Amino acid sequence: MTGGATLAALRFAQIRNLVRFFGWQSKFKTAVILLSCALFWLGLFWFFRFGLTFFRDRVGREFFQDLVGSMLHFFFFMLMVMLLISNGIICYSAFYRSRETGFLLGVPLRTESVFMYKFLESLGFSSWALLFLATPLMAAYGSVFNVPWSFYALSVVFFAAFMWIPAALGAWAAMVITNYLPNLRRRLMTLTVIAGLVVVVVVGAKILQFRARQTAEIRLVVDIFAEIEWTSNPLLPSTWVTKGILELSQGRWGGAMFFFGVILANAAFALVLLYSASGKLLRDGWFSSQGSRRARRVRASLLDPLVHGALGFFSPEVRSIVIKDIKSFVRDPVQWSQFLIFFGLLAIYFVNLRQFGYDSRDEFWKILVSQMNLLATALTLSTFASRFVFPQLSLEGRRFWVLGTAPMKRDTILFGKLAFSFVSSLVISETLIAVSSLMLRVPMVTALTHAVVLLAICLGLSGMAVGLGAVYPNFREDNPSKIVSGFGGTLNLVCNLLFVLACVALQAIPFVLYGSRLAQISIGADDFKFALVLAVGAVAVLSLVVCMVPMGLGLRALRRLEV
Amino acid sequence: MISITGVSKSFGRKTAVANLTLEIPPGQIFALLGPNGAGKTTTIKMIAGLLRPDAGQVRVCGFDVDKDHLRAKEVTAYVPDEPFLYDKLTGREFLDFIGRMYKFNGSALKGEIDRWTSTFDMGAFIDDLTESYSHGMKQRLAISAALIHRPKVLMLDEPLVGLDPVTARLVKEVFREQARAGVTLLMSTHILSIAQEVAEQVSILMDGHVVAQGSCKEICSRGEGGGTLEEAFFRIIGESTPAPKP
Repeated sequence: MTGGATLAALRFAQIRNLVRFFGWQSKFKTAVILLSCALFWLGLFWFFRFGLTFFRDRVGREFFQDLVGSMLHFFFFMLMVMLLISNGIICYSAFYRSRETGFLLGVPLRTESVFMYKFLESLGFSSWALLFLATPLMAAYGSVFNVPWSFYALSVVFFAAFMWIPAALGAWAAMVITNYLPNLRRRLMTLTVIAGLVVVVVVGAKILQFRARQTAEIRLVVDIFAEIEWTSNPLLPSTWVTKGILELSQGRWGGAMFFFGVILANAAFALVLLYSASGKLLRDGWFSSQGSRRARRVRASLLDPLVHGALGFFSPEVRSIVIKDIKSFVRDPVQWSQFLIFFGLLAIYFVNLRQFGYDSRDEFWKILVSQMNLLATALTLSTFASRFVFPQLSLEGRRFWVLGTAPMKRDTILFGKLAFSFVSSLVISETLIAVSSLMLRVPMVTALTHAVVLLAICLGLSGMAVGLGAVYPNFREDNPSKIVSGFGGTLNLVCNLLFVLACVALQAIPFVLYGSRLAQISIGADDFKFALVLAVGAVAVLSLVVCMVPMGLGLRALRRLEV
Repeated sequence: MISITGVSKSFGRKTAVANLTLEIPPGQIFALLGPNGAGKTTTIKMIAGLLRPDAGQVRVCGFDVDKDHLRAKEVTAYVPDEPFLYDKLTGREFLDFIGRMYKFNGSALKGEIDRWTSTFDMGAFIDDLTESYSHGMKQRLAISAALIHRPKVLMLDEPLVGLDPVTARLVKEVFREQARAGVTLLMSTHILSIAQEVAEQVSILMDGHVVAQGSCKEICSRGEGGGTLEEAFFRIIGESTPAPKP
């Protein structure tokens, strides 16, 4: 067998075993995973369809087509950038950080075959998001525009061809940087994050300027999309796929085939070049990357005394676990950078709320916007709990010889994780919601309600993520993103979302009833206060239950744990 | 100091340890030998409190490891065969963290950290993140972490694998010094020459049973007698030493 055939057989065996393993899992697990995927897809489909029909009903049909065209150009441009970055990062790890690469380069296989094997693996890891983001959009688009049935199948073919281009560019970037700019890798990562934040701030500032001078909301959207007309530049691969999709939707087969051909030709060209150069770039890059990891020296910080002082009401063991977790989080940019972007975006938006003029609008609008802000903050917190808090106990697995042999009750480990999650999420979320309330000038009762509700949400989310993390640990993985993609992580994500939606809906009931334009009935001020106390009380009870039940199960699982 | 009575442990249908009884007095270096899957690591993990025996009793310094586990853990320390550390902590922070877990702090803890940093020559990298450490550096840090709270019982799973000759000699000397100070050392190893060199008592496990126990001299003189511990080991486990290929 040639090297390529050997590696193809290896990959086939791995996929076959994965499928078998999936079949051996409990039916409940399989059902939860499939149901979550279906709900996610349907949720996106509903969101895209709602957005498209919203605009269709407010602008003329002819104008709507242009607007949707601009939106698609922007969407596919952003998707291309996202795919390029994720392919670059995943290719770098797969090519130069994976032990498997070292093993494969040590056996008599052609380097090009090893490259293609690892490249296809990276492509699979990085491009599944395309399926989950683009197909519901295409389905929503098709249902709004009544496209022929062939559109649905052919649009998937377009994506299948398109995804090779950002993948090839990402792989190029990873190999070129490793070979020719080896000392810049860390700086480049930092620069990419900073550049991303600058782009967000600049685009945000532009949008806010529009907000400031526009009154008609739809006109505003049109102006925003006119400002990003550059995303339809004919040299961009995202433009080819957008134009191809638009041609396809209108049944213009000639035009669609032309753009499909352009995509295919460019993808093939990039791949042939990449394959030809991979023999040298992969091997040389491997040699230069080995041993280039410089030791990071850390000086004593103020964190230890600060946290020991601030968390004085916890036991010294809990405080030490919290400090360790904070340090591990802060020193890992992969962990905090995504939360910096999420929470940073929210902070930029909240700080600029007065630019929108909502603070001078009537109370209905203020409360509506503040409710949306509460929901946005709580949903962002739920991603924090799912992505970072849930895998915390699993990450202790291989290090359990440290905490497992320490003279403290195992419960302390879990309470340490709970304390870290609760305190850190509380500080972030309460600051954000306070800024929102301040900028909106909402009544004190609304501000206080939201602060209390967020406290309850933080407790519930933390307890659920820590508890379920102990019930469904994965001690074989050191990669948090792989831990959260398992059954326990999926279950935790779904439960988190349902809990957040339930809490926000419960506390919103008195506001909806109180003088709302949305409800037919309205209640008086005293009744409002009573209803509010009841609603917040219900949220508190729900949070306690959602925190205590998974924590109880997690404590029981941890006490029985044998590693 | 370590007392194991009729201990058994199974994983599903596989019996890892069967009705094991051991007595290890204070100040003794005791080596567990045996082929892969003989039950060495399972035995050590049961003494360390990371696994619970299905039957029997494990006592350390008089404390029942199951019923009085906190007291037992206060006087024991364990170093696994592959010491996974916290990547984003420095060596010094790791030692500080471990010390605090054992209720050490202040100048006492700092003094212990400095002592072991110096003993194991870790000054050049103690303030680097452990993610950059080699296996030998991790092993030195893990052994330091185990010794930082002055345990009375030290358990080590393959402690010398991956260490360079200088560090290996240093570690062996530290073990002897600890034993002289009254600490009981229980280690598992595949390297028979190390057991012969360091251990006062040896136990050979096979399929979860003790098949031979005694001093190295006693083990070597069993059966036909004479030879090295390696030759005795192969005699006992019923395999012949593979003849060198021509």
